Amino acid sequence: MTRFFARRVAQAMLLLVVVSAGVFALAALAPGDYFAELRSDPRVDPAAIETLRARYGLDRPLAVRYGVWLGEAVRGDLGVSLAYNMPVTELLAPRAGKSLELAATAWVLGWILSLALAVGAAVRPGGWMDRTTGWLVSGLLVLPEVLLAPVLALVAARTGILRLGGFELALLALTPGVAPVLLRHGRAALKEAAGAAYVEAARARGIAGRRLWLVYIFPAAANPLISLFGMSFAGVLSGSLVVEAVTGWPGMGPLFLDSIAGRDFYVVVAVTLMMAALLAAGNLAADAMLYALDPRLRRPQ
Amino acid sequence: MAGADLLVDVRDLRVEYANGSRAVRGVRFQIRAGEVVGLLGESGCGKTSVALAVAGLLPRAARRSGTVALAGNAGRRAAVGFLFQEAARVFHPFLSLGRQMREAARVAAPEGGAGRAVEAALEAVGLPAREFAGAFPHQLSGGQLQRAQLAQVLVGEPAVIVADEPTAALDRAAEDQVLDLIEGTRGKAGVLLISHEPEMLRRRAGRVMVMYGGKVVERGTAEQVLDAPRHPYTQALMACGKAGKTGGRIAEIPGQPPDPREEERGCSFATRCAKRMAVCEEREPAAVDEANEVSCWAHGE
Repeated sequence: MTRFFARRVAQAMLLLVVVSAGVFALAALAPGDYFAELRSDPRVDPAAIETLRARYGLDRPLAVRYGVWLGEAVRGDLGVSLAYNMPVTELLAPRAGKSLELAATAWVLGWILSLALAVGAAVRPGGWMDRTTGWLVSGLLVLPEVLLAPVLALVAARTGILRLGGFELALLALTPGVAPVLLRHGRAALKEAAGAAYVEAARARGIAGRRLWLVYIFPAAANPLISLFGMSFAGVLSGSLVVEAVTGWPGMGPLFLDSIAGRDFYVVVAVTLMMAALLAAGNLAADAMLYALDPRLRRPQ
Repeated sequence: MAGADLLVDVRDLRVEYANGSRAVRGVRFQIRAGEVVGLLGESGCGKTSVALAVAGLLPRAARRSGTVALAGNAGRRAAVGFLFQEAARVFHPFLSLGRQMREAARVAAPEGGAGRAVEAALEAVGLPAREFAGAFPHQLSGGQLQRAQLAQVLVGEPAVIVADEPTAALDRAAEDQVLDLIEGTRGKAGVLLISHEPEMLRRRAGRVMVMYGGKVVERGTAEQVLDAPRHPYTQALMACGKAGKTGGRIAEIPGQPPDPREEERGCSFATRCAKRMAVCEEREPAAVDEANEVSCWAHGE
């Protein structure tokens, strides 16, 4: 067991280092840097720009910059925001909290809604819940949040039912983008589990009703859903960044988009890395749950 | 139901699947307390459909007509214990054997005592509860799993055990062990033993029925049917004797078994039969029932 998790944690760490190097390289390879615009201003002395670049270490080779950054990142220092002239961690912390609040609510809500609907659909195949959820999935899946969010924001601005920049508006714009994917997988997993050979065999033994669902079908359906559970949070959070920017929720979203446009290097790296870290953490949590669920992992033959 | 020891009384059983396949075309037989009735036939002859119909396990889309009367509490599924061919597909991979046995035992004895019934059943099939109740399916061999399935059937205290090719996936030693255990543990339960192997039925069954094209074409004691077959199909089947475990379909008889989706006239074996007469292709021979043991125009003439 210790070996199983030690390996998984080591893999996650390695993944983060690789991702950080990749993001670092991509962000640095993009043309120009934060001070590029200053150069076109004739009133600014080029020597002063070079001094600024040197102060933030932008004049050093990429590999050296990455090495220095990695050494500090391990100690919890993710660099400095050039636009705000303050440590990235200090700048991001309150906004990350807001983003996590929104994404976590939409995530939990999305799972509850879609699992409830999926169970309703699987219990009576061909029933009205089954047919309705089928339509709902195909209808909502084609509706991207980048479309839904501006429409809702417009409605909010015109009617005043929902406050622009408010939590409810952002949540309403984000959840419909989260739920359909979960509903589709939940529905498929439950239906497949309900038709598994060993569930048929359990029925043949007279096991039926609630016990059949609780003891046999739900655990069987949990297996594919747990992996999705682990991956889905990072996905919701990245969707949340877009929704935040459109609806005005004061999370990392607006800041992240600004930092990309303004080449605020360390902010871009930090936000991207946070996504990767959440993905890795989600996968680790999923591994732990699968380990608890499936005896074939706990006790190999 | 006539006779206190009559456990199963099947009359004019017909099964048709949603794809139009008429798998069973009028089958009549009885099983009495304590007897082992063999059902012999090639794959596709309809023997599994007969087994599922007796156990009440036909898929919902299948149409069944005729009557299947079971002794005792006919509504309770546990009146029939079904032994599936592949034990590995019968057990839930996430649940311990003991847990799955207890779920089945609870159906038979909702008032309690499931734990002791499970221990007794496991001991009876030679899987000591101390060692195997906590084991998971993937930790057992094929033979052990089939014995565990037998134990699960036994805790349901069935009046009849329907065993559909219970040893087709096992080697000879495990096969003998499983069949000995069925013999030794069934008590007064009747057994419907389904196989494509005449040799196995010769050793294990008291009476044997031979199925072809969805009908029983011959019945009698095992010695009579297998040593002195009267129906041309049984004769051909026994002549190519060692068709063995591999195929299930006997290639040495010229021609193909009938397409179960086709309406047919006359005897279903007529096209492949060496003793074919004009009448065989015109009219169906008298069906096998209490009075008639062989369904063939050539018989007795």
